[in-house]
Amino acid sequence: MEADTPMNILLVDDEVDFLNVLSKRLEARGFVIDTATNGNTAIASAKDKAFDVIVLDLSMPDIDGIETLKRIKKDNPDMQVIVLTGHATVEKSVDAMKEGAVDFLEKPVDLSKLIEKMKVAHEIAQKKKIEQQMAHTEKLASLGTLAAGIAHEINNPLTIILGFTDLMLEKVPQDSEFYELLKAVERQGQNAKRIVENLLGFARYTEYREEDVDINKNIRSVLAVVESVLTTNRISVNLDLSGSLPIIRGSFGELQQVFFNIINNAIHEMKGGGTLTVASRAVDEGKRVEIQIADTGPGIKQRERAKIFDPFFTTKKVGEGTGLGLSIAYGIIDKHGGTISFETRTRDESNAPGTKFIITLPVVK
Amino acid sequence: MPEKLLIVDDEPDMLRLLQMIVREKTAYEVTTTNNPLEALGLARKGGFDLLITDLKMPGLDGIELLKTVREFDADIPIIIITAFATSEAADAAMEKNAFDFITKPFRKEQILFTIEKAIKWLRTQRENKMLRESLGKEPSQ
Repeated sequence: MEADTPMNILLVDDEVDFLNVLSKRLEARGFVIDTATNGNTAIASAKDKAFDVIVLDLSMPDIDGIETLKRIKKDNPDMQVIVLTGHATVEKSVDAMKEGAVDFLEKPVDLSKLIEKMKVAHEIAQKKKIEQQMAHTEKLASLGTLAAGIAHEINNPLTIILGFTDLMLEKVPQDSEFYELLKAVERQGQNAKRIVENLLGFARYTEYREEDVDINKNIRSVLAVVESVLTTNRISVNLDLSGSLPIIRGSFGELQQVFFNIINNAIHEMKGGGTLTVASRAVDEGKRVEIQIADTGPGIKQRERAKIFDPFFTTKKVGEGTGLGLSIAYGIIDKHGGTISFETRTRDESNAPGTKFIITLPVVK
Repeated sequence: MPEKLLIVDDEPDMLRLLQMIVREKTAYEVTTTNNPLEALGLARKGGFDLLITDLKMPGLDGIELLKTVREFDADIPIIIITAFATSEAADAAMEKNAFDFITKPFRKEQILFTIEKAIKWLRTQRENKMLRESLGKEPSQ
């Protein structure tokens, strides 16, 4: 094997024999190879799948390599593309580099040279991705601090509004119109208070405090936060919470974070609608609590399954996810002495695709 | 004689709310100020039985006010009102010998309950002191 996890490569060339030979030789070295014999197929494949590196022949019929490169880069600016040129025309290679190719290689292809270039390209991509994610994480962290600060500030006027409303409600006759209006002010003030509490609850998750945790209550509090997101995404919720669930010891806020991260991913996977199933029950003769969170999304692709708990691994676009959600969840569950695992089926594997996360937490007597 | 409360908050509306709650729901006398330095001066003059202060104020914050008042008055119960519902803020207040702390947004019942608790505690302290003095000796503990 060339690396810890095999690199996914897309080879694009109109010469089928060349493509087959190169594929076989690279597969023998542990690479996972997809092929395309023309620009349009290549562009479609690159849209569909996250390749680590694309090796692209520049001279092809229909749309040529440069045009293909342009379109791939337009869809995915961070894609690493190495161009191959049959005629060793420096101009074409320079053009390709200008369009964002990471490197070029002359045909006939020297395999070890190609592999070396692919590895360098992959390393550059990884480094760039980590840098981007770090910057994003830092931005998120400061956003969290900002949100917490604002939430605190809002508490002040909210206290005054709710306080005066409370006092006035005592002075106004219950059958008057003003009483109803004041009740509306109070209700909306309470709504704002709840929003602030939720915001603070999540901004505070780093503060670890062990306490008795009612898992069902915890799950419900998370669902309350994402309720509107679920509705707008046409996701229905199937709740199956055990009525006799033992209390566990842990951090309420951190466990909220775990469920939030998993549910958030589930929502992201169910673009256009679906069903979110959340179930809890006692297992192992009441010694453990098990929580299952299942979506009806497309499932996790085979090659991504080993990486999902890795920090900074994400299938979301830059800016949409930090790649930290599941790694944070893993860390928190591990700290609580629990386990986290998943079952997943893609559309190719099942008529009912989806992903189910299974968390168990110990019940401390 | 009803007990005298000194309330300090930099936000006049908050002050008005607290004053209204105390005036309408208790028999205690209330003095308010939105200037923490003025509050310090008033506390120094004496005559107050309970001090209620906001935590975050410009010039002199609640913790500093608490610390300074404690230098000349070890007994007066002090309630801190804080928007920072974190354990650190609470720890800092309790460390400096605050009687209790209340987090915003609060309900008037919470304020009233905490005030009652503080006044009861104060009365017990005073009774104990009187009893001790009448016995003419310091307690063993």
